[in-house]
Amino acid sequence: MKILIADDEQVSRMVLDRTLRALDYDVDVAVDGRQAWEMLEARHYSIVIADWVMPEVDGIELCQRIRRANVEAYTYVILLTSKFEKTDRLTGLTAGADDFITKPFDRAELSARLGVARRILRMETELRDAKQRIEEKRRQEIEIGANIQRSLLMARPPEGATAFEFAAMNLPSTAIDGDFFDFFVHRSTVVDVFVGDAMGKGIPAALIGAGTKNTLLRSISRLLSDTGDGRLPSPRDVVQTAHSTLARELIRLNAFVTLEYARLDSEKKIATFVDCGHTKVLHWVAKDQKTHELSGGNFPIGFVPEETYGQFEVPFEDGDVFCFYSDGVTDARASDGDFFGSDRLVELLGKHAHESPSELMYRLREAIRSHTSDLDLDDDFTVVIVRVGSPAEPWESTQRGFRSDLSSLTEMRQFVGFVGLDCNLDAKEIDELQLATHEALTNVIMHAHENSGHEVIDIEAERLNNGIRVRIVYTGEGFAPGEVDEPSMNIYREGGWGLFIIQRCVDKVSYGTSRPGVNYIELVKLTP
Amino acid sequence: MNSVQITSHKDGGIVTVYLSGQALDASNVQRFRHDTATMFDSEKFFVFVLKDLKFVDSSGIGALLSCLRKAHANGGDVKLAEVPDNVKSLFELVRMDRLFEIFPTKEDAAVTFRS
Repeated sequence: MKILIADDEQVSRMVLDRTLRALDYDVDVAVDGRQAWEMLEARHYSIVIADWVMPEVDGIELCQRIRRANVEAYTYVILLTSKFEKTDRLTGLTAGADDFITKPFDRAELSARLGVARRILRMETELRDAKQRIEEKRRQEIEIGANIQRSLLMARPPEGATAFEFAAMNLPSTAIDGDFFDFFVHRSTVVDVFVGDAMGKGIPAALIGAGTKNTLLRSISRLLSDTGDGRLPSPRDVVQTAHSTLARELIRLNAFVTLEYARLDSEKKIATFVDCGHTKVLHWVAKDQKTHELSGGNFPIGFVPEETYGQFEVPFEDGDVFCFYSDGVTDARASDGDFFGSDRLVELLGKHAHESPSELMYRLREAIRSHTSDLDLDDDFTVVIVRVGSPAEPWESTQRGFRSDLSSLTEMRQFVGFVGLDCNLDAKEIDELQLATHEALTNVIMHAHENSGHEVIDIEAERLNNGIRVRIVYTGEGFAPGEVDEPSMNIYREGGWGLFIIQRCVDKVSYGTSRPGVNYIELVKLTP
Repeated sequence: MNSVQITSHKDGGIVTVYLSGQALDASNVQRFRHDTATMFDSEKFFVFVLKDLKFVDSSGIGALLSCLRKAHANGGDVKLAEVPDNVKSLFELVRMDRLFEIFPTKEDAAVTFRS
């Protein structure tokens, strides 16, 4: 336990120092308040014994500074007062002093008062440790919740519904939320899409979300096998069936779930919605280039035990876009409290609806990221975008050329982000693919092209069954590293992580020459 | 060229440095090294706030490490706060999370200098 003495009177300082050392305390000494404060800024002292009257920074001022510093561990402050000086203990207490000792002091009294200080400091430490343990537990819970979310609540856009183009994304908030979504492909032209949000936070909400999603999927399967003649159960019947299983349980748990259940039928060109208190669906109509907000009037599931669900139909055409989203999108807040809001969402959709859902999603994600400075999503961010019609140019492979220049890196990363989304990579996988590609591109620009800005780099992307292959094609000196060691954890190292990063962020990397003078780096990123 | 914007604020002996920009990467790392060169001459304790930095690559990590080294040489330290997920993953990947202490908020980071 370290004690700091601050006293400008040499004799009293020395006596105090000796007395404390004799009592076996570890003591530092400051000759005035200013020096004491400098020492306090540099390290923590458990106990400070300061003279009330000192030039410039007096004991009161020192006390106030210590309290203002808002440090985690407590500093116990004892003020020294003299019988002959007029001091007011109330002033001392208000400034944050814990105790007072009158000079000249009595050794037994000093020892006793320090005993009190130690007792209080010990309790304070125990309290702080307990708080830390609770926080650690909470962090663990968030991690478990995030794993549930990734594995049970979310889905990848469906294969097989070839009459539509999909993009889906979820960015979890720090406090786990109950967002979920899934797809059910009836045939290539008919697909059910549902997006929901279990109210509340944490693992309970995540489990309720997972349970609801599971019940919906089972309800579809059961109704399909009940009819048995290939006719599809109506969305209303699916939700009604799920409700009959879920509602009482949810009410008992004092929970409810908002849900948007939609069937998109591109033969009849009809979309059927059952809206149970969810955020509105945006429908961008290609014909008049306008965005409509669609909503129905059912209660969320779990609000009332008896509810008869209604559905509504909306006609659509090829090129139309539907955007399902959770309130985490519109509620995403900037640091000044400004909500992202539905207006910005509608505007963004209007501006970019002609692009592929993946590109649209990428733009939305970037818009939200820059609006919120990539931090503190209060709620989960979940978006599903469906565009009617087979992809305008259904690419199995696509490519774009860039000037070989470090200033093109941002644009190159963005392109890789687009194609990654198009191949159904999730947010984390896209981050990894972008990082690996960026490192490989930097090597090419710096080493093969010496950042001349005169060369061209082609980035080719090829869609795989379960991922993407990105090929960086460049002229000039070929680049092929040997073995890549794990980087040592060394503060004196300033580079050489690039190759290691590439290797870790993608599933396969290979270097080669396609024809004399033309080289490539190939990165493969697989989705599990 | 997009350079990293650097603003700083000193309070109670601790310098909070806000970095913002599209990226701290090979394209602007020289400029960043230049801009931060004298920062460590007169001060010791730094909290770098990374929330507005969208992307960091291996050369960005190198530059941050060089800041850490300069601070250590002066008996100080650099702690990181409000680090975006993608950047944090990179730190973990190259194990820099063991050299840099990373905190959820700048206040959390500042507190550790004082205890």
